[in-house]
Amino acid sequence: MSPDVWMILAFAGLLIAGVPVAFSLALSGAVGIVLGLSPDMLATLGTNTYNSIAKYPLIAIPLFILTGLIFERSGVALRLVRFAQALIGPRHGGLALVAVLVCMIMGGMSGSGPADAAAVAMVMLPSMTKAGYPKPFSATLIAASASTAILIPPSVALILYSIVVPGVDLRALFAAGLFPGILAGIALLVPAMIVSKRYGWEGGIPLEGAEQLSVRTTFKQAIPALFAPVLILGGLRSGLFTPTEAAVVAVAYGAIVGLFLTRELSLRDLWELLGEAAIISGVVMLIIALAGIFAWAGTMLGTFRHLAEWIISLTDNGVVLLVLVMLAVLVAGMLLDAISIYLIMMPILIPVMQHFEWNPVWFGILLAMNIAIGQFTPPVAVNLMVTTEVAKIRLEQTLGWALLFVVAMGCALALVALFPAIALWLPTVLGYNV
Amino acid sequence: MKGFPDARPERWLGALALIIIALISLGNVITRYLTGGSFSFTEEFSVFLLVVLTFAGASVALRRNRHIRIGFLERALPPKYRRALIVFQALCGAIVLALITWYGGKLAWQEYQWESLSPGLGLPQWWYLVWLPVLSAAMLWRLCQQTVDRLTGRLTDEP
Repeated sequence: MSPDVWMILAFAGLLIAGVPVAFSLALSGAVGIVLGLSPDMLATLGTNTYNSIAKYPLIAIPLFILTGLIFERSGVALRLVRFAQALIGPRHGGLALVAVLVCMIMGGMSGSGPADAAAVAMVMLPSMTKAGYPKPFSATLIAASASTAILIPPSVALILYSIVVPGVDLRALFAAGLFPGILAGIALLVPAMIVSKRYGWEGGIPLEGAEQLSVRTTFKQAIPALFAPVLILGGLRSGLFTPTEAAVVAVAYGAIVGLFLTRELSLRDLWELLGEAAIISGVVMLIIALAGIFAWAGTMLGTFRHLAEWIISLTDNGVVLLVLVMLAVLVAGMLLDAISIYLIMMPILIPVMQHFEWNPVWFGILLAMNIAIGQFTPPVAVNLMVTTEVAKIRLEQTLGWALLFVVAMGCALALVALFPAIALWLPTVLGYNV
Repeated sequence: MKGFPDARPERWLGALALIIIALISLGNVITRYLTGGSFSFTEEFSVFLLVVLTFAGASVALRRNRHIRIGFLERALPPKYRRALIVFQALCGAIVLALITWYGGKLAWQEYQWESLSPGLGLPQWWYLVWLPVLSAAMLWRLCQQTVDRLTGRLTDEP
């Protein structure tokens, strides 16, 4: 067998054996180097590891992770929920609507799904259960809506995509993610509303003892939270900040809100959050660091080129191939996180994308939507794991609901695939290079 | 995170690196608006801190067994084989970390001998590079601790 095959087999075997993704990447890369090149070339494990992460645009990743953590600890989620509840009022499916909306706004502050899912689930689940929604339904709905965080800017996954794929403007990607993200939210909401109406969850009359929320007071409390996405997106749009700068401004803003406005954050908490952000970033960035070795070995051996040629040779029909790629990414999304998928699959998919002349921004958004679906599809559903843990139910109980929302979001994905303008209209209007 | 083992020195190092990155970036934004110029030489330092942050954070995550991986197999296996699998996983991690420590150390040593200077700030390059082998050696140690904990049942594999 050729070193290519050994490398791929080693990678697959290590992943199945439960070796962390980062180590699997590095070790299979090393296997490829030893078998196909020369053991001396293992020296790349020193240089490549350092150089893969010593890149300025990557600084945005830990900063956006920190932003998300700070906003969650500042009690922002609760204030958003109260405002949305006051606005929508008690009606069939009202709380479901609140949950989806709040997840999406939280997605506009932080860059990753699981953290949002946890924050919203902790605030929303008790009141949803009290209003008559079954726990498996609520947990799945929150997990699914939180997965839109990787579409709605800022998104850690899209930052990485812009680094992996040459010549893609991050601002264009961010802008392109907004409408598909909103569309995905709507796609989740429609079945959620229909189901709530059908089963009569949450009646039209307020619950006994439920407090009356006034729109005005809750709005006042929610202003700092609502202003955060405006600051981040507006700052990026106006060219006031680069993505890295937007991230640091968001961190500063979140810290000020938490320390002085909501006062739910102490300096001690802030220090703890810095540590927590460092750990989460360490997990993400270690994969990026060690994927560099895998990518280097794959390029030197020609593995990626061979795989890409093989994929292209499957069919001349671009549409069929796109469907195949999407299915493959969906399966990958059920097993792995967005960052790993981009790093592993993009070196292979870039030649395919160029061959069929797919728009890289549109393609990146399609991949992100696909990965988002994978985040709440069992068996390995990162978001769902978090929300079921909060709800104290087993993952299997959510299976039926998960399937419903997978289909719903699949429809949204199909729409963006059929009408690329849904993604590309906004960045074009804003004058970015797409 | 309560109930998780801690790796305090690395957690502090990671938090410190992150706060310095944040302050440098914030300072950069502010001075750019006040004076119009930026101190782009700081880029080199921020990027170096990013490497420290990554490996320090990854070290804590390793101690807590929080790195992203697929956990099917060990949940499916009977306890006897599960222990063997844990040892295998640890060995794989150890090989990677040992290679990085060795070649990272070699790289830093070469830069030290060549006395090469960094392009931005003109500092000795090895000041930056030496952190890679040091922190990956720390990770190697944390991996040993974690594996012992998993084998004795002090650290469960549930996420």
